[in-house]
Amino acid sequence: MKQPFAKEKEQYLSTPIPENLSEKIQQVIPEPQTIHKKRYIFPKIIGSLAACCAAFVFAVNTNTVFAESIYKIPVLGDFAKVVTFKQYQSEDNIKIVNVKIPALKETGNNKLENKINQEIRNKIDLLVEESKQHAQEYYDAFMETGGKQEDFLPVDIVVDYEVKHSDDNQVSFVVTRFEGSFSAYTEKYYYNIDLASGKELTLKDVLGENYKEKANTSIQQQIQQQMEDESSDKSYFVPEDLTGLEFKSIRDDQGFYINENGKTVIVFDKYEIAPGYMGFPEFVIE
Amino acid sequence: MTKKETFQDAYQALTNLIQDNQQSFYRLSYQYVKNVDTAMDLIQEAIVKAYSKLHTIKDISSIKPWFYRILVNENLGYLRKNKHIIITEQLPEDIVSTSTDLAENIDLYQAIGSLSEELKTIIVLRFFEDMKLEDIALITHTNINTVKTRLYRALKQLKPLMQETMYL
Repeated sequence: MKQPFAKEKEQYLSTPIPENLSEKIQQVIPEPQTIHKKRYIFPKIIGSLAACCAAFVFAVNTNTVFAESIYKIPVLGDFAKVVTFKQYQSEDNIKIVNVKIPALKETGNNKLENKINQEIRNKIDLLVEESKQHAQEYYDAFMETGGKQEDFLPVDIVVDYEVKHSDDNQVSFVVTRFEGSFSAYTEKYYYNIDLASGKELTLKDVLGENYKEKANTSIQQQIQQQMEDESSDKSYFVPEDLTGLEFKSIRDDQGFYINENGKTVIVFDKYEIAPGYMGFPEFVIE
Repeated sequence: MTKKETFQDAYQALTNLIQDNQQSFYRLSYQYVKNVDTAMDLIQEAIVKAYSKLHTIKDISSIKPWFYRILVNENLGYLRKNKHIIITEQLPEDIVSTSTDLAENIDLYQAIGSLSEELKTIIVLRFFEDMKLEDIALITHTNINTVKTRLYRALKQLKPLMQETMYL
């Protein structure tokens, strides 16, 4: 019986080999005594991010996405408006959980604080439960398909937040949920609160009636500028890709936050308008 | 691995593996990145990583799939970071084939080249590098059922272009 792909294998085996391959390889083989035999122990939080190929084209994890979610301590005025209400960790052989829950404080508006804080707590509890379930499912599937317990890398579940803007008028912070596993992903949730009115701000509130046009024009311009810039390695989907995913307009529920300068920053999800390596693209709308 | 001699064994095994399989490493890398210099760079990176991780190896007899895993990961990592670069390959002008169905053969080879990285890896390792499915599972850090599923999917995709019938 003829071997499948026999002709293709021949073609593969006749790939021309560069003359200096041997040399290049010899160059990097170290002397045995120069090899450091230290075992590197990574901090548990970062160490078990699994970067496997996923079944879907889009589900790829990168470490930079995780790094973005690390809490930065803001330089604040008189009183901290967003603080860590609760923080907890837990670990078993299926998952490693790290959760930080923010809360609004010292705004002078108790009703607002109670409402928002309860909302945040409920949401985060839900996200963590969901992720725990995913971890269990992933573990069960792994074991059922003949995986060995000692080969299983625990799923990283991280909920963290970052304060983007905090003053007497407005508070803006982002809660990030990260799930690191077979198909890892990150999700962001934005809280933009007007302290005077006690309401959560919408894009219309911050950019005005024609907020969509304003945002779209600005974003379109910035994308073009960035793509034309030879020195940057940024790129976005374009019509020529035939993916149909190139930027056309912001969504009604497009995420945004307010930065330290009080400017509105619109954020896109990973893969929404650009390839995965671009992470979560952001645009400041002047 | 705690004994000095065991580390020496591992060192020797890795060095031998590299000397004996350089061309195979190159062909594999080239299959992913389609660029001579990039392929060689990635092999160098993989080798450096392999030596630095040598002390973690649990079973010297599986050093081949162990190293190929590092090499494949280097390639896939590179491709992920550079997805926006369009990779085109120049076909050699003097391609020789004894078959009268020349055009179809090129199509199938190209079709394999344009499979997703995941599926391409399975086909190349299985049919061009003649690796066992167990080893492919180790190399791709999945389990054998995933490998079988991907193999099946890849073959299904390639079937329209294949002339002979195949037994899985």
